[in-house]
Amino acid sequence: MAEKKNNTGATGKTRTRIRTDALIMLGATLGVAIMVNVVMMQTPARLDLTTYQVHTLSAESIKAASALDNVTIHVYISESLPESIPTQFGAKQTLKGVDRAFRDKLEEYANASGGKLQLVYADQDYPNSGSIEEQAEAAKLEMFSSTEAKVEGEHVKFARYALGATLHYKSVQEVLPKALEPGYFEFELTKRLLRLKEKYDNSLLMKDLLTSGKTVYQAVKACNTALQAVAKPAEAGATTGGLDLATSGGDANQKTFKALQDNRAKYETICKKVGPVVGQGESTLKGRNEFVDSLLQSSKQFWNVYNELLRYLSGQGRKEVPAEVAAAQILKLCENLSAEVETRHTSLTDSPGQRRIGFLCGHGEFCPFKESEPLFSPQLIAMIQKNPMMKQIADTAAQMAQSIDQTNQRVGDGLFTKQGFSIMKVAANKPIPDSVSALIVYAPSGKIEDYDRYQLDQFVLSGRPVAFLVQNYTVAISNMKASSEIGGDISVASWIAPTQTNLPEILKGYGVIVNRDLVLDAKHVDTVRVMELVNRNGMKFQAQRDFPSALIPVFSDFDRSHALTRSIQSVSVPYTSSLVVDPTVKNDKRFEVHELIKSAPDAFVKDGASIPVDPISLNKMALTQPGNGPHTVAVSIRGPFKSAFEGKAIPPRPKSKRAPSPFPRPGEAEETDADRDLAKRRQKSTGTGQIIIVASNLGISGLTREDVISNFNALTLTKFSVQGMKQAGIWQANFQNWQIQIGQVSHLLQDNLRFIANVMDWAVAHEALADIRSKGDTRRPLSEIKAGDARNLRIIAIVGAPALLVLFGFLRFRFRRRRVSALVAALERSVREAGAGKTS
Amino acid sequence: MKQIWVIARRELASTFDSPIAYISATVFLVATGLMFFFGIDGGDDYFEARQATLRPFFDAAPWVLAVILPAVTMRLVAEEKNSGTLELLVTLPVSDSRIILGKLLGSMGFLFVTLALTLVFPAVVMTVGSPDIGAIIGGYLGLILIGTTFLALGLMTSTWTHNQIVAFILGLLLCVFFWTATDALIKVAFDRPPMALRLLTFKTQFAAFAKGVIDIRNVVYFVSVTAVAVAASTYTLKSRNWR
Repeated sequence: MAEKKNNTGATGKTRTRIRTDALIMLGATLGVAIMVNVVMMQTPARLDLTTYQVHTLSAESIKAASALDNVTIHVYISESLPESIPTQFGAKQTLKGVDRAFRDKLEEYANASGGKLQLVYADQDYPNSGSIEEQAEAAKLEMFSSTEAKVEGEHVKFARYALGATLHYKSVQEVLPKALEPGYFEFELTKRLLRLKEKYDNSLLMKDLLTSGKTVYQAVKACNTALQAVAKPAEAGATTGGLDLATSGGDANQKTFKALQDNRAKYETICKKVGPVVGQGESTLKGRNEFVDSLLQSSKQFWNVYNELLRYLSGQGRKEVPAEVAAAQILKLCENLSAEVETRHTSLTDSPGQRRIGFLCGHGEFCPFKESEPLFSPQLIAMIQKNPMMKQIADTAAQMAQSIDQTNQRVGDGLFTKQGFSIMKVAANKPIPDSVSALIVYAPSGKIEDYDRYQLDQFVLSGRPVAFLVQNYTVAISNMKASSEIGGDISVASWIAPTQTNLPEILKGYGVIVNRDLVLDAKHVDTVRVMELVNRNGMKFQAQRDFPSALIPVFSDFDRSHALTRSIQSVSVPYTSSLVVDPTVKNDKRFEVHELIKSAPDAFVKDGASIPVDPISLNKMALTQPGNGPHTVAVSIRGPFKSAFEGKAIPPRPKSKRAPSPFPRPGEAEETDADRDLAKRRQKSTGTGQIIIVASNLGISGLTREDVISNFNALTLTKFSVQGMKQAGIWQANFQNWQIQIGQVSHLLQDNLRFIANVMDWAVAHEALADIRSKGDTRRPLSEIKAGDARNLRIIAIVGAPALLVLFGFLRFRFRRRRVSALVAALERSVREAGAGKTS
Repeated sequence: MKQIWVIARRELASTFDSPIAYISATVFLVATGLMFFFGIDGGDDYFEARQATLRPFFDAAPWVLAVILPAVTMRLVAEEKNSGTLELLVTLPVSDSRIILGKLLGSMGFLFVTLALTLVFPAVVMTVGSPDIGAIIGGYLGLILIGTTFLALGLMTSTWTHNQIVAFILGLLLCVFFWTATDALIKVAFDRPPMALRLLTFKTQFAAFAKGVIDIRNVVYFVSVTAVAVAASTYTLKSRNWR
């Protein structure tokens, strides 16, 4: 009997075979696909098509990865990261794929190191050491949260995540606390690898300091741990909750005090080591290293406070405060001091090989530090207290001073310290410390006097790099302005005013002429963010609006042979002047001159006084002006400079207006004859220097007491009370003006800060880092085009291509119809002819 | 190979004989154009954002491709099944896998033509700025790969049914699922999804291309999914032999 066949004629057996074969083929394809993908996941290979290879490790990174044997990178990546996290300014930062990008980048380093660098993943390699987040926290990574909260019992908790790494080489380590920007992964990792090497090399040179520092730190930590181990259980067992630092009645105070008295042996044997260790440190190490000094200072304070505690416990303490309260206060203080000692020890272990960048301050520069001197002398404070009006004005001034200090401190920490730069203030009228490796003179608005000029001059000749940022004009758009100097009404106004800086005069000595002009460009521009009053439906409100401004040209012509500008795509430089390198320097082969940033040929320059400030009038004016560029706005020069003080007497150091301190720090004491002799011996008349000059403050103006609390003197407080009140209003307005000016260009700051960071890396001889950091900046701004042109381009792009396609379809349809008609006609003809043939 | 080429040419010609090709391509060009110049998800107007980049286009294009390509592929096999021309095709001395590959290649022709028409976008950008050409090339390579994968998935659903509308809806669901919905489903299924699962999403795999990086893993992934879809289509076509 024949087998049953299906509609293709196959028999049952054949059908089964075909089916099995097809299934095997499908299964094999699926299996191979999965296998190939799994294998490929372990062997990343990629082709970077971008112009500057921004997604490929640079030669310097590969060198850094293979420079050290046995570097271990501990990687902490939370298993499930959120899609996005909130940023400081309310926007969301997407994290999609960031963990994979970080892992990939680390694998790239491991591959490039030739086996010298090993990766250890927290989840895979240490599964029993707690959660990844706990391990990360212990490794001092910076944890971050998403906006999604979870309710746990009565508490709402935000999940915390980790994405970072710690790099270890022998006894030294570096931490990458948070890795959220894939564009900068290479920069962050290479920076830390380079630092690891420097740190290790230098830690060998200061091994004794590090060892002694560690001994002191460990002694303090052990003592505090022992003290708290006795105190905490007693405090926890009390009926009235925690320690009461203000009254004597707390049960916790009593119990803790008793526990400390009863268990002295438990901590005394441990704590008694602190004194000798600190004493030994002071006798052998003091004065050799500032980090050791501050560690010893905090440790000594801890020792003194601990001894005070012992006195209270023995009933020998001061009687003003009840012993239980004093003990509670001292315990808290011990805890704080122990934490301080730990911080100082971390600073010490981080310090080997650290290169310090000085910021010159005191001439209206951008100076990201707190003022060291109080605003009011104690005598003035005593005088002010008697007059309520004066007190109110003084309070306003003090608040302003505090705000300025806090802002500067935050800016300094956020922009520089947290980025891994070691910065220090170089005060006016003081010698520049030898520990300063490089100097930034950031857009002074006031005059630099002879003594500081001399200091600068000698610093340049010493071969240490100096970056000068020059700001010739203050451009104020919709700022607050008082109608007269003192006591006037305040209104909104815009103006361009020249600064009092004499930096251009100083720079002439190095062959660079910074012109007293402003560079404008009508075509390649960025925007200025201005608040304007909007009237909508009869309602008036303030709105923020971005105006293209010819005073903020976008520069994309860079010297690609210099590390600073090799990979930068574009930079928007607000209110910049043009500069020219003296031909004698430019043509002198001993000098290496780089014109780092140049404007487009369409740019032109104009004297500040003849420029309208209002963005609309400004752009109208700019559109009618012919370009006479390109204009250079930043240069770098390396070569044999001459001293501006050659053959002249060394300027004497101005006398301090303050009363001399009984314990002056280095550089604080008045200049002595010995100092002058030393300066004379060290005076250089020539030297190979390296300078960078940028003719703009890149949008960051200085926030100084002198600028904000203008016309401040004791007379303002004591004589003109009414004017004094108005003056306080002007101070507020000055502070607001600084905020307004920064806010107007805030959208440019991130990129400009990267440029500044590049300058700082260049300054501390990490030029390659500047190059790598620039790879993260992928901005490519559009040229300025008229609204009509933009509309036309949109129409061409959106409608043009579909119109072409439809036209093609129509023509094709016509052609086909014609062809079909011709075919039909030919067919009919041949049928007719065939019919005619038959008939004939 | 010649047989595949012949089928591909025939498919390409018949695609452009149908108004669906013109409608789909026009929808694609207008939609991506609008998203490119006026912003996706309420993003910035292109000329106000002032960046010479094609990223907004590369962000928008896969979405639209996921919608229009199933419309192009829906007829590839379903129509032939419905009209009975498939019987004629399979009696020719051509293997089933070659038929499928020919049809896929033919529909890829449509993809190339459509993408070629979008070159007007980089041309516009180049008149007002200097975009990174490498990143543009990478983005287009990514679009070709992801588009081909969408086509293969659409072709697969077309082999499953006689009805073109059903094929389109299934294709659309599958493409949108792989483009973005995998993420959501994995999150529902796992409290802490493993990385390998998260990589299933086309969106994650496409991201590197849009930056100008051709990662072999992304290429292999798209080629694998295409290969599996082609194998599944061949299997479905072959199934007439045992039904």
